[in-house]
Amino acid sequence: MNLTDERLMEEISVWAEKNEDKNIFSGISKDETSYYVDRDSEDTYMMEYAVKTMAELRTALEEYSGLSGQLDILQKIVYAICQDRYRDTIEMTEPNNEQTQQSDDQMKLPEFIYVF
Amino acid sequence: MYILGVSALYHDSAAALVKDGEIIAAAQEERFTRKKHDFSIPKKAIAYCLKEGNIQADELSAVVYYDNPLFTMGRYIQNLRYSGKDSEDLLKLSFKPLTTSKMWVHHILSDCLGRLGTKNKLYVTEHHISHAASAFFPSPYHKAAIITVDGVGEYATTSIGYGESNHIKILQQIEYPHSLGLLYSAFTYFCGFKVNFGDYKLMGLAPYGEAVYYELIKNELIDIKQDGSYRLNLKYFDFQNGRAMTNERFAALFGGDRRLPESKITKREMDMAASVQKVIEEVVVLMARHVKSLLGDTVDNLVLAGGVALNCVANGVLYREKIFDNIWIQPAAGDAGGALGAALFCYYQYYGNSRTVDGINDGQKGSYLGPEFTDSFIKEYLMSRGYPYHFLSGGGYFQVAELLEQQKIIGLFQGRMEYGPRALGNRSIIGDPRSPEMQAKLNLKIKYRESFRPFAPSVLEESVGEYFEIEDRTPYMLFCADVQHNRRKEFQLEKEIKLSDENLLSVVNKIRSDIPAVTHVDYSARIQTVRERDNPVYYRIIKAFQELTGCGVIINTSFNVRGEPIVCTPEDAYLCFMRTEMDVLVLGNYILYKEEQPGLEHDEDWRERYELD
Repeated sequence: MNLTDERLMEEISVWAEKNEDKNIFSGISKDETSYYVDRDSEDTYMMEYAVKTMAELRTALEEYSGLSGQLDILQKIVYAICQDRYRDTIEMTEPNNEQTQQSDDQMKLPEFIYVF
Repeated sequence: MYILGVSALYHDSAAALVKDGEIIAAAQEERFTRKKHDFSIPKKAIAYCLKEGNIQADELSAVVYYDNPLFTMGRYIQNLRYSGKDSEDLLKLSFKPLTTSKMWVHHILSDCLGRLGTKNKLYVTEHHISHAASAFFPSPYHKAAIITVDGVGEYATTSIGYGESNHIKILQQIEYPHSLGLLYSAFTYFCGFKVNFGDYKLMGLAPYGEAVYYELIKNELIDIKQDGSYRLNLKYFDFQNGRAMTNERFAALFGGDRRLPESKITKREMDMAASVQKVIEEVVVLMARHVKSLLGDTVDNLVLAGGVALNCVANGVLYREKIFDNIWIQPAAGDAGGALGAALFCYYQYYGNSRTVDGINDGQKGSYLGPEFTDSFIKEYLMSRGYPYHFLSGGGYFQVAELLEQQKIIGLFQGRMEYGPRALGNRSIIGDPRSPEMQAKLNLKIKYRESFRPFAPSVLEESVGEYFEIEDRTPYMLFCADVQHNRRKEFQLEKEIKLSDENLLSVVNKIRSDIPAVTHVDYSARIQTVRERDNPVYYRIIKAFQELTGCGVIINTSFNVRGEPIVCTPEDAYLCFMRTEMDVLVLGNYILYKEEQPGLEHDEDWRERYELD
């Protein structure tokens, strides 16, 4: 991880701490009779995915990721994503076994993590 | 119209090719790379699918990825806010895979394929749409209720819906972090097995235990409503913070720390497995009743997908409840199957193509959708390596059956490789189920895996009722049913476990029926029915065994050792054969005997190649 990564991660982590919300996920409720969330729209079942520029990415994330109105974190996330794509391209043009191994290790999730 | 579906970057990556609605090819990447649960971009699986379809990438009408990265990012950010000051670990462990690959999946696939089909665009489907489509579109039904349950995909963890003709609709869903898959994974983790990869071991362990924690789980960990919807009590879990599945509160609830991997399995783990299994079954049944009530009596069919749909014990319970007349489950129910679902959704619903079904036969082609190798290829391979072999004249069914009767363990490699986690007779290790020692022998000397794990039977479709308490076809090994009463032997599990001091090997060795090697300790079995139309070679082998012995059942376990993906090529099969105590290898129409083979040279470290699962 380079310095830019570390700085970005720290900024996102600080944002998360500042915006911490332990109630963001609904909890158990004896008052509710059902926990199902109804779905009506079929609009997002399938869509074209073709973001190329930072502007397109920002627009797409604003629309579909629930981040609209949170411009500070949105900008950081967009920057992190675009930066990583750029670095990935550089690595692809200069193959290096050691780097590839490091990259594989970085991508490999620990056995106890399911979700991400 | 050719459509390529791709699943990748989460669990089991895979590719599937559909031509005018027909499934041409589908395969998991792990089979080619030999890395179990390989989640990388499935370059080799894609190359195989295109080769099988005899097309180039630029001839594809669409390329469809099975998950929406924008929604996943949204859920990730939501989760960061939940974690708050604890988000540092989550970021360190999981931010990079999201920003470097998942968000750029269209570019990565474009780099891999050269061009993303005729339009050079990538389409993405919602994760649970991919699962739902993989369950409904290949099913034999014109209309069906749909249930998908897994760990998580974007926001949804469970969805219920309806499919009719060429259209599916999700009606309701349950969203992250409330997840039946994650609940089950939490127990998998706590009992010392690997999350994602060890869930089926927990299921196999459950019959050894008693559901003594059932009430505790329902009182503390999960709140289940009458319609099958549920929420988890998050204070007992840690997966939201990316560190572990459970926390110290969870441990306190079950009397201490988690079992360390590979350490002794105790009564506690057996009871935990039995308890969470009972909860899963309860929820699945309630959900099925709920969707039935939503759709009314005119919908007689149910289709299922998502990782939880691989829980064949729960599927068996659902079958016996008879809420629906018919149930069809996608054999590649986990993430690998998402590739197929994405492609089929695109063909039928996005492009609006018509779909025809006969109500009986599915479109999955027995799930034999992977590569196959001709006899001439195999012969050339064997000759080039100098491996002694014999030709099997007339198919050699009786010869193979005789070897089974002589208690030989046989690697069977023929036809197209299976799509999904189960070997269904084309990449299988087979044996005689009547042998009392066979289960332990197969586990310890062939598969090198835990002694408690059961083996599945393949049975002639027309004979299934003679052996098991099930009357319907179950060609994909996705339903458990009990061995018929008249075949059972006196066996008291609790007493045996006490007498054995929790040594499961001695329990396993006790005879429980006249087909003991495929009878689990609770008399259950995970059944594959075989009919000639689906797999003539495999059918004829079992038929020959029946004619020889009177027994229309054989043992079927996947052709691999622990931690190894199921074999794909003749070379993979030969190596696995030679590295284990298998006696015979059948490669297409050729047969190889272990005693005639030269030893493998420079192969001392092969066990280090495969990480234990």
